[in-house]
Amino acid sequence: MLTRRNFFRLAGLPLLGGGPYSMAARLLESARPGPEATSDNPLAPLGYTIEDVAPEARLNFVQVCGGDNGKKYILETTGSGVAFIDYDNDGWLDIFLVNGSRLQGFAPGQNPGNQLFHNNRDGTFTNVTERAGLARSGWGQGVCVGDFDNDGNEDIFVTYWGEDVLYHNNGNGTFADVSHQARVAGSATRWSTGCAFVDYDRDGYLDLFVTHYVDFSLLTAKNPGSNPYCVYRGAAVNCGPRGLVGETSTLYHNNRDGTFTDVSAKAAIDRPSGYFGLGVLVADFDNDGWPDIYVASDSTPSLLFINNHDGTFREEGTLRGIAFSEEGHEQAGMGVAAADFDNDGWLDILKTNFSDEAPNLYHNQGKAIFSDVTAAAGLNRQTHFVGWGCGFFDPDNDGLADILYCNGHVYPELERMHADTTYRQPRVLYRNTGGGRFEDVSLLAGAAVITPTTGRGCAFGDFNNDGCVDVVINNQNTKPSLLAVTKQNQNHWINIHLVGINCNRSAIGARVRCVAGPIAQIDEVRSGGSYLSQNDLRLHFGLRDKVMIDLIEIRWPSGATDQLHNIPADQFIRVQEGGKLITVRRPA
Amino acid sequence: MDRTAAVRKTWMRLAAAVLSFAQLAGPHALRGQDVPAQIQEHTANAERALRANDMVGAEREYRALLVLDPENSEAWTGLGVLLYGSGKAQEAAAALNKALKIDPLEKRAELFLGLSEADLRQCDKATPILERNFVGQTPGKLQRLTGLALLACGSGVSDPMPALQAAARLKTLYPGDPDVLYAAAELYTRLWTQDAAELIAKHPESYRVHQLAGEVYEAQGNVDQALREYKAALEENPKLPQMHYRIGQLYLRKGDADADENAMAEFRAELRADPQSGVSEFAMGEIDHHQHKLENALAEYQLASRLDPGLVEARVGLAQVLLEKHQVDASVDQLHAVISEHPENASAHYALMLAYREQGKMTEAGEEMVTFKKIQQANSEQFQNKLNALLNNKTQSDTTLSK
Repeated sequence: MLTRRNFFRLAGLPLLGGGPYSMAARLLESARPGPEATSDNPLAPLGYTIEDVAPEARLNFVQVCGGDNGKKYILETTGSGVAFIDYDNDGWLDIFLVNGSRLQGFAPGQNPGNQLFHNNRDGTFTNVTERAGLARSGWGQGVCVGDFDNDGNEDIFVTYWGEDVLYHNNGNGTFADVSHQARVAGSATRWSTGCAFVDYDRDGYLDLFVTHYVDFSLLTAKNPGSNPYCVYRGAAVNCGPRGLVGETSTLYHNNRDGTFTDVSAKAAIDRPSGYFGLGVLVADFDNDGWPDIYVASDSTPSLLFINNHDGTFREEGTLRGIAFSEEGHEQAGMGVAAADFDNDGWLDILKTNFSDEAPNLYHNQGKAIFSDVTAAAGLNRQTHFVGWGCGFFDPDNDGLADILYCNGHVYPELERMHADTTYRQPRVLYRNTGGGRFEDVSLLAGAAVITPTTGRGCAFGDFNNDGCVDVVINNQNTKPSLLAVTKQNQNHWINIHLVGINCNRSAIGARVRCVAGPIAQIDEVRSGGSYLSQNDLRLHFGLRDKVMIDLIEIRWPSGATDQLHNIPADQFIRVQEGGKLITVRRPA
Repeated sequence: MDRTAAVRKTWMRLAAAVLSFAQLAGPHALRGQDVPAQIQEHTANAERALRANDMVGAEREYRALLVLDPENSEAWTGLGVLLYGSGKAQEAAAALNKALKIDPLEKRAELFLGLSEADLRQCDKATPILERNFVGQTPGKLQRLTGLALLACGSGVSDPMPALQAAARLKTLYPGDPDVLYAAAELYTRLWTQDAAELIAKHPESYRVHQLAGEVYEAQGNVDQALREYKAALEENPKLPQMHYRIGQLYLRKGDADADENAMAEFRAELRADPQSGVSEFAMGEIDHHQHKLENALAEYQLASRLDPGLVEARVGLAQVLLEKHQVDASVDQLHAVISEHPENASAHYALMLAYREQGKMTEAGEEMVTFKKIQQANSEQFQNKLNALLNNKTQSDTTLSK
């Protein structure tokens, strides 16, 4: 309580000291289910368990990204992405983790680098980075996967603060750096972030879209606290992105000969400029058969590039309702994901934001006109978190897309402040209850979700082929998390791997419609997404109690359509363009 | 006072000193018919030295002159002004007092004595002089200097009214002047501190002390402490206006899982105490809107608008809810009304854009989008301009200091 003696210390008192809440109590309270859960109406069980098995899986990796007690520059805050990739085509997901760096540098031979882990099929992984030729150090940012030369092997593109790297998969467990040869390395002084392979002109070859964050140089970067853009709640923190010079995006057209051409201006992707691009999400939002591109932009309006079908795009984010908050305010924008959460045949968008902002759930009302339904859906309960990697997935296989996103603040200084938010933050798990509503089930999920950490990139995929989609998270400045989902209900599922023939081999851009009884779902094969990360290129559909799928309809990027009927559930199928069912496999 | 202001203050003093000497050196300069040649020579030398900005030389000439003519009030005045301009307030005051003893009507001496005494924090002596002179002066550098000195003394006297009046006049005469604004802000802060200290000393357990402490904690972002103080204030005075509202806002700011529930309870309590509280009704509308309780939000926004027709946000919120209830025409009508009165409101234009889009009026939606973006851009540029001005002023000051 105030006394005369301490009154005059108020004016000069910094924001120090503890508050009445312990961190754990506050986190548990904030993870508490919303008003729907009462003692008379407790939340239904999840139908699955979720556990962090990264240590047992032997993912021996530590992500490095600047300091952990203080971050001098914004470069140290963005963390890195992660990819699920089946690089050796053995039907098992391998993991590629991107790594960053530190301003102070490292002793010779100690530089951290990206790592590739081969799936041993027994719940463990083996580090094959050196053998694969993927060892590289630098300020790694994001990753996306796609078979750019249609040789049947998934290639990898890694973005950097610095030159980007395109790795060609040689098909024998090794990769070759073809960045300069392919002319996609970009500038050594540029900051690339989100990326995606996309066949924007539907010529059968994957092109490459890359967005960029800020114009940043260590030579001219301002110090924490040096101007109002470098202060947060009274504390001196790293500057930006506001106050820094924004960027634009780059589109590379695949020349089909192992090289690419920068067509950003020609495609009208280079305008507007001056934004801070992070997450990239490719999807056919207006169902016209052509891929559109959504860019989540930090602190500036996010962008939606609508495909004009003629090699160009037009940016219509504001008009289509996905650039601002409901009230027309600029928000942050980091991670992005797409799914048809209400199964109305149109892909919707999820975007994660900064603290004091809930994530956005944009409902596609049809033809890529969106309305912000965050509040209506019940997704606005958590506003203390800085959200990054995110995704729609169906862990309980009930045919409704749930949501998981990971969090972590950008200012470690918060740990020393009496603030209502913290540096390490829990993940958030929302269950789709149907009717456009979600409920927060983070607490039900347990430690794997609610343990505070510094989440950044995350990817979704069934790494152990047990019929449940799992999640890998690249936590900043610490070890990754591998959240294994294990089924505890009787719901059914199907996992579909598409192989293009006339379209790109990865079938990126293919739209699948899966109908089982009254459940009709859609999804697309997608490169990029989440936060600077890459999900499994296979599509997983939960089928609830249906043991038979009435229809799997595939609209290939080439324009061709195939239909498969009466497919049994609970299996992994591989479908080639033309409708041929190549392989069928039961779960491990 | 920081170094920048000290440099400027010194510069101003010198400028005023030269100006005042120039007037001294005019036709009214020296009295007496029998002026020894040496006195004349020293006078001329002093004048030359001042014009050449040689303050040391000028002081030397004045002192030599006063050895020869110790009853020369003008010389004592000139010396005093010079010493003041050199930052030697103590010596300046002594010289100027001598001048006034010889000639009590010597106006310049009186003014600069007041300025010197202000520098010496002898504000009881300085304030009457400065006040007299400030009121009678014509606008200019000297008047500005006098006013700033009066502000500096404002909190050191029993009656701060002259300083407060001077602050108001200075802000009118020199709008946007950073030194004036700084000095005024400093005066108000010191007076605030004095009154706050008196409040605590005389009424340590008063609800007002708790209220004040709450405001300080709230400004610092110490939400928990602020809540405790505000609640303590309410315990002592349950009818304290706006207190429930402030507590409600703090709960929302804290953002705990039960923030909405707690905040609603506070806003309802505020309305029981003050049924005319439009902001409380609006705050409830925001919560219900946030929770997608559209019927409740609608009623609350409507009532908030009736209680406080100036609360634009309530009217925009109302329009947004109507849109969410698919009452698009009503939403559009509401927004048209808001925009006709507040064309600068970006949220209204954005909401209207969405409403037009719902109506399929894409051309109109596009126009609203352009307007919305223009306002956003203007707001952003305004902020950026202010920020740049702040940063550039700081940069220029750094440059000045380094010379």
